[in-house]
Amino acid sequence: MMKKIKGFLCGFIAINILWFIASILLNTRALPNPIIVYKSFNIVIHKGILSHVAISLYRIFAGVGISLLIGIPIGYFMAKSKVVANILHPIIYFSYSIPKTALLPIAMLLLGLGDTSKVLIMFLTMVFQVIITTRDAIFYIPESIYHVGKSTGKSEWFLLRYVTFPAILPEIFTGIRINLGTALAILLIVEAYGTRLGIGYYILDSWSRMNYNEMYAGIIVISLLGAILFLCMDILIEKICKWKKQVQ
Amino acid sequence: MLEIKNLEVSYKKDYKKKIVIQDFNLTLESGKILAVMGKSGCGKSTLLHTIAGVLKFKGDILVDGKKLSAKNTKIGLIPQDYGLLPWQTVFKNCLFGVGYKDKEMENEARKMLDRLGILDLSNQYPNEISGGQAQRVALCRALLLKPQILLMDEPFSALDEVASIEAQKLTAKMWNETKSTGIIITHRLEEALYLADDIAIMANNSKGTIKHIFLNKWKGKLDVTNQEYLEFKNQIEHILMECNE
Ligand SMILES: Nc1ncnc2c1ncn2[C@@H]1O[C@H](COP(=O)(O)OP(=O)(O)OP(=O)(O)O)[C@@H](O)[C@H]1O
Ligand SMILES: [Mg+2]
Repeated sequence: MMKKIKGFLCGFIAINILWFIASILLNTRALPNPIIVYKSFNIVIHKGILSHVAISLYRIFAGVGISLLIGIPIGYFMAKSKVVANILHPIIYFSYSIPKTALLPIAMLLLGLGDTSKVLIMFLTMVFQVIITTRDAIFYIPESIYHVGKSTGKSEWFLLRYVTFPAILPEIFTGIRINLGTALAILLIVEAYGTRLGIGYYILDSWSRMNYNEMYAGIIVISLLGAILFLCMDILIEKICKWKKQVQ
Repeated sequence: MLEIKNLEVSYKKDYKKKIVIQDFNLTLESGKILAVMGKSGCGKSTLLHTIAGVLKFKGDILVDGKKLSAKNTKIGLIPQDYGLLPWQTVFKNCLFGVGYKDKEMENEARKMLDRLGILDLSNQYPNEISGGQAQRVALCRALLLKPQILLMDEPFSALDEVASIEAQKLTAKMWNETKSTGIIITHRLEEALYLADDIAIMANNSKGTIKHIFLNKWKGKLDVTNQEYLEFKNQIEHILMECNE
């Protein structure tokens, strides 16, 4: 835990030093000195960057949450039933490769410019990965782990609750971690239109206004947001999957 | 009494059926312990899993004349790999068989863990304990069920000589108290002679037929140097050798 925070800080400092050197060498308005950017944080926060963060966080959590709620059961039934697998597999296989962000115009036309279309695109980007992770994780659970449960006549529900679910939990968490990275990346696309809020919008807007201080502040904030989300996930994984040897 | 009649068990693989046990018959009186021996791959674990209710089968398995089912008969199974759940502590693993609802059981589990000498491991995870300790956790989980039938798949084979004998003594003692009807799979003859009333040798004919059943009068005796004992042992070894050819 302390190790992770330490690593995180070292990385942060290293990147800032590189940035500092580059800004002096290039000497252009497009790459301002980090010290000036950090000085402007005061104003940036005052002008309400945190509410942009809050809106983006809400969209990320909604997207990740719904993709888990829908993806895990679908993955489960695909692993358990050949029929379900045979029906869904071609659909998922085909749509896995479609870049979901390309569907944003359609989603906006059908669902309007509001959050629904944005969360839908996030959901679509992530749900297939959740389905496939879940299906594979269940598929690779050794049959023998169910033997004792079956020999004592346990119900399907009991086995699901105490055997299948905990067995796939580490994979699910790893999947969430990957999905958080994806969600942050597509923020800049889904928040490009039809909203005046969100950290993605904030970066794009200050860019178009050529306010580079604010733009860099936005980039730093979104990076920090990503790092903090990752750190939280790592801590959560460590807490919940105590039994798993931690990989550093 | 445990009766198995015309048992047939097969595995399906790529739509092909592979029969492992066929025309299998066996009776075992209540409270008696049967040791099953035979070449690797002859179907011992398959037989055990079938009785445990894990595998589908044709034929009849009866307990006191009634069809055996996991819901009606308490079955304590100790699989070859002990079958502990890696994400549960030792304590929770012990309760897995009886369920987590009953608070009374938690006390019994503690008592049982204490008797097995592993109470201080309660909060450890299976990957933090030794093979012998894991074996005792699995034993605890099975005994808490107060099983009518206790099934053990090579429970001592992963242990070294000393740990194995200690575990056998402990198992024998516990087994005496529960009076369960038992089947134990083993590839060590000394183990079978020490623990079992009957010793069955399975043939290596891809049908899992029992080639011979020996009645063992040396149960509970260790380090016997008696001539009669050695002859008996030789006789069984001879049959075992024949099966390996
Ligand atoms: N899940 C399975 N699917 C297909 N075939 C299987 C399966 N499990 C076992 N078999 C086959 O059934 C046969 C009997 O296996 P089993 O595990 O019962 O042997 P065993 O006597 O317990 O061997 P060992 O002493 O090595 O544990 C073997 O030929 C094995 O290949
Ligand atoms: Mg076996």
